[in-house]
Amino acid sequence: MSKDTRHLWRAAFIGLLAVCGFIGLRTLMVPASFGSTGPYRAEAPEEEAARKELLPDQKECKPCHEARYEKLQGGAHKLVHCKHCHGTAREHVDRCKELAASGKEGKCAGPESGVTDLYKGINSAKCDKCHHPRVGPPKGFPMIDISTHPQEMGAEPTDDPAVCGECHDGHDPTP
Amino acid sequence: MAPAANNVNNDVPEDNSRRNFLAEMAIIGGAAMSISILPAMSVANEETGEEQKVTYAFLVDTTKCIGCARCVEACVAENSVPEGYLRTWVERYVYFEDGTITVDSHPKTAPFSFGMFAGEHEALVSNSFYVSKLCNHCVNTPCIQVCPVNASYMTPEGVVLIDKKHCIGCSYCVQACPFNTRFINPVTQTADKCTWCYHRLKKGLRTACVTACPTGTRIIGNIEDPEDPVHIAFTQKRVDVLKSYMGTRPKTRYIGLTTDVI
Repeated sequence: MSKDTRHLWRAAFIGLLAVCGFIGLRTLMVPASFGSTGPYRAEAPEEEAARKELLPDQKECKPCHEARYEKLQGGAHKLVHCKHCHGTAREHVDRCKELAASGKEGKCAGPESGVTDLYKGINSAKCDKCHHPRVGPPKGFPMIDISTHPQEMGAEPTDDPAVCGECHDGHDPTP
Repeated sequence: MAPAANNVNNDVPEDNSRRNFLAEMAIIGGAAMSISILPAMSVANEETGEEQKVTYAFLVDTTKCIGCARCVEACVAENSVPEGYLRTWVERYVYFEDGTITVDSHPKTAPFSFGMFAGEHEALVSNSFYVSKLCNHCVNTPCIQVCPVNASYMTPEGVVLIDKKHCIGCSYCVQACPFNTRFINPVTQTADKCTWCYHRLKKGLRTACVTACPTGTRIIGNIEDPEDPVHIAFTQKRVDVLKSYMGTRPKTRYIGLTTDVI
């Protein structure tokens, strides 16, 4: 190697190192499946889709609670999901399905079942969540002030959370 | 690009290579462009009819919305959204008789209830309505374009997602989104946003917000299916998108917007 070309070889060597370094780093950092289905890691959509869902679909309630479901469909609350009054009920639905699949005896509701995300009965706080008075809803939507409405309708003043249930059925709340 | 394809002549002598080269380039360019202008790709095989083409789209009928924010509640629970952050929210537009407009939203923490009035005004309310906001899952997504590590991506069904194992939390996408739908999740330290409940859609369920909506304001459907209510609304009703001037071509569309809604 002549003295006159040594600096060129040095530059070429450094350049080669840089290229190898880049390719090496890139291979390490880019996921193996990147680009096989698009410009993303191919497993990513499957991982996202594999997440467990929480809120059961209304139709999952239907097979066991058919009468209530049909009643709901006939009234003003037909689009109101069961969960708004009865809780998310994920544990309840899972437990019911598990019992049905295994054929074992057991309860899927109540204190012995271990299900904690299910509620029964009418609770005015839950009615108030949608029906509290405010500016904004479209015309015709019933907005009720629960602090005055029962008295206006002739009921005794009470703190009972089930007060709405005295006149209204949550499944078909026609006044 | 079609006329360029007509220029191809296989009988051209080999020395005419420049013309060949240009014609080939035109075909390649044309093919690339026609691919890039297509909306979301499909996983479908149309001939067999076994797998139907799926491109999800979302419709918000603001004329039905009562502002109960049950959608927000369901979304937070379904997706374990950290407190103080929201993947979807509801805005209230209130028009007063003196010509002023106020916009407010519910609190960012449970129970997400709207108060009686939007701000304090002497004048009477002349009109008011609610508008639900969520990720628009645009066709031309600024968020995917700016991601330096390709952690933001679009699935074959047109759903824009984040690869949380790959995201470095640089928040470029948070700034790029014209609709403010992204945030940095303080728990995972990655970008986070509405996924249209991809994990539910893939199981044949509707999104949590659509499932929880008590008025039918929110609908999700497949725009490739002519029978689908969303397809029917998109083709037969006067639907609008937010910030159309941004050119992002959102797949979330609205009925009943005014020009004041941004």
